[in-house]
Amino acid sequence: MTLALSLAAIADDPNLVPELVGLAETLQLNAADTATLRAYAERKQWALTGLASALGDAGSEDELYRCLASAWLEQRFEWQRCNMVVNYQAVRTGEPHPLTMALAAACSNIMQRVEELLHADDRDRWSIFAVELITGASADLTSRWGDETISLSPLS
Amino acid sequence: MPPALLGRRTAPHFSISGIPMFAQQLLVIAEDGVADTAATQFALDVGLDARGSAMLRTYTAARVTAIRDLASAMPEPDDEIELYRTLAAYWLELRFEWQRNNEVMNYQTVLRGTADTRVIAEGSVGSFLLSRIETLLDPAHLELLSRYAVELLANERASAQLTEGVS
Repeated sequence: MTLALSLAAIADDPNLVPELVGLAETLQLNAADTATLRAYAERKQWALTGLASALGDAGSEDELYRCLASAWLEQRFEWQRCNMVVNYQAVRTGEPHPLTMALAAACSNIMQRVEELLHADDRDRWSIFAVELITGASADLTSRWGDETISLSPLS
Repeated sequence: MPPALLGRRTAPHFSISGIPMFAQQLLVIAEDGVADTAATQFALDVGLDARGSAMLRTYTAARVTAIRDLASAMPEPDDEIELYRTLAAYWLELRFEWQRNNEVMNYQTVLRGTADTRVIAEGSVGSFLLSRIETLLDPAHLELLSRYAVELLANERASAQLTEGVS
């Protein structure tokens, strides 16, 4: 099975949207937040379907792999952002927003489905980068990316 | 230093130096009306039908809400560095999303002669949001982030050979 077919199988999984929307019940979302979660899930499925079909005839597996990697990174950063917000909300108010928690969980679900198609070494490298970008671990980034550090803080 | 305040809707909080708090500046670029107007126009430009237009506006609203959520979760002076870094990561997230839409558009155009109008419109919203966020990021950092976006994916080609197990 090619990468495109594997991705299409993920996108076409009839359980994808119901599974993600099912998080609404688990987290006791209200009707408006449930609708938002459903829209999110359907849009993600649309995006995966579009990627699989457009790249089904891609010239090489390398090209598809790179696009798939980009899609996974998009999910990884989204998941990390949702988690960050949830953590800060929990510390500030003691009550993180259920919708943000649901989005984080949905994001994680999609990420796990897609990452089966990616090599573990690549995922590890990207995950470390994503974390270090947030934590400002510039020393590690320097050794990994070259001479420049990524001190992303003009405020400090 | 962070760029000057773009405009303001509510009374801003100021740091000791007199510069508006970073979270406040973030809230300014996350004004619903501006992004929604842009999304509505993009939908018209590419000829989306009513349902497609509604989906695009829902997507845009969710993206703008995410910016507001960041600012609301990290509003304190002590949070500013982490907020800045998280915004930089959000820029990368949007950049990868934009990249995906761009790839899909390109392949659709080559294969079918035309691209899905929803993909085109979503790509336009992505560009719009990226440019809004860029007003709050240091140009040197943007250059680094852009380079990282390319480099992160530049070295995976060898790894593609290792995924043959799924093929």
